[in-house]
Amino acid sequence: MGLSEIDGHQEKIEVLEKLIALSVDLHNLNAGVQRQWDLSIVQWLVLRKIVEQPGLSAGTLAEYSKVHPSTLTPTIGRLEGMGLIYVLERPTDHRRKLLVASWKGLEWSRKSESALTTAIDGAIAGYEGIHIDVDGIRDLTANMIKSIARIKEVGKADSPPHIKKARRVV
Amino acid sequence: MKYLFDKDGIQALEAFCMAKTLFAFDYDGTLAPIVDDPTDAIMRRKTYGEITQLALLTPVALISGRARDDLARLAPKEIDFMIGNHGLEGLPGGSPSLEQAEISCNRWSEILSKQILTKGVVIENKRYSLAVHYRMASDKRKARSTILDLAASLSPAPRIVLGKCVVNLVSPGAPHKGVALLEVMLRSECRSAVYIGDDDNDEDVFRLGEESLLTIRVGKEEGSASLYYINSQDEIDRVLSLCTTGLQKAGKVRRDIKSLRGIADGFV
Repeated sequence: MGLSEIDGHQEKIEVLEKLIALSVDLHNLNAGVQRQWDLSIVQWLVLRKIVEQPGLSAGTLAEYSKVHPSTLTPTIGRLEGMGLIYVLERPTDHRRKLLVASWKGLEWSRKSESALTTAIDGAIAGYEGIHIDVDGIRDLTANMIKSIARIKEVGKADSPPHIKKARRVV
Repeated sequence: MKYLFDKDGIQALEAFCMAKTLFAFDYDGTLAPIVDDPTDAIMRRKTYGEITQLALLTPVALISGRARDDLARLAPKEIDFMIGNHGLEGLPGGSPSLEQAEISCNRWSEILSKQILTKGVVIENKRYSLAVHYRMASDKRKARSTILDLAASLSPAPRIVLGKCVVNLVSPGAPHKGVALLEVMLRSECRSAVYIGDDDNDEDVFRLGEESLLTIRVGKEEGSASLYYINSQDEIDRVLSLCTTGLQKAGKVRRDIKSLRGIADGFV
């Protein structure tokens, strides 16, 4: 193994460390937002989607918001419990729900949006000497999400045989 | 179907007012009461005022079986999109099928006017579609049956769109009201829409089944694919009033009137 390869390996580890640090920071930000607004960032994102696109079912909302259905179900319950959304019965299909925002939900969505966009503006402005823009970050993040999803797939394939077996049983 | 003015229906309609929503309407039997002579179908003063107010707050479309010129004569100029002939007239890129539709219509009109001799049956050539009215016929059931039999023998075979005491003959392959609504949503950059109609041909919209579409039928009808209903055309003013109040409460202000006018003017 040459010196340059060792350096490259070290850089990759550093990328991973930074990602994990970012994840922890996001978790802390989420906790802070939740303390202040009574809503987590994910809950706010779901609320915003419901305000923007009334009438969606939970399945479509999961697809649009990229929130896993197992996370979405309690999120919807929480938003409904807080009186921010209504979960109505779809008149033509009783198995499907119709999710719509309440006036309170609209108000909360707008207030939180204002606070969060200001926070993001502040975060971006803090990087001195680095050319950075919102579009760039969005594209980079979208690509990273895809890449991390692929890593998870690789992880599945490489997992030890006994784990695979256990998953099958489940 | 559920009654719109029950708690659920009002909550749903208000939520659609919060989003960027297109409000679309059929004309006859929805905005204007049904009358014996279609040329007399005008909106009540209150309805006219409410729909004008609505169009100042959000994109509004009329999608009707009437000819587009006829709609333009009857409706306020503030309305952005006027789609006539059951979705065929007024859509972008529709010229080739319009030409074909006009040829077919003239041919059908010529044949039917020679064959339909029933008193009280009136053939209205709307240039791109044909409406055969039988409201004034003494035996409506027989008149309808005769019209349908004759329509079945026409070439090219028309698409039959049944209305209240009217059989509409539309060019085969022409876009229906549902297609027209989706096209207008795309053009107006609205992700959601509210559509209100009273007729069987409005089922083309109701049956789209889009989640981002709130559908309301004028008159309860078993088997309709519409989500909600109102009892009669008289209740349309209350719907419009609820929409304008909701839009105002949500702080909706049209900033896009000029750009939308540009898009609408480009429709053929």
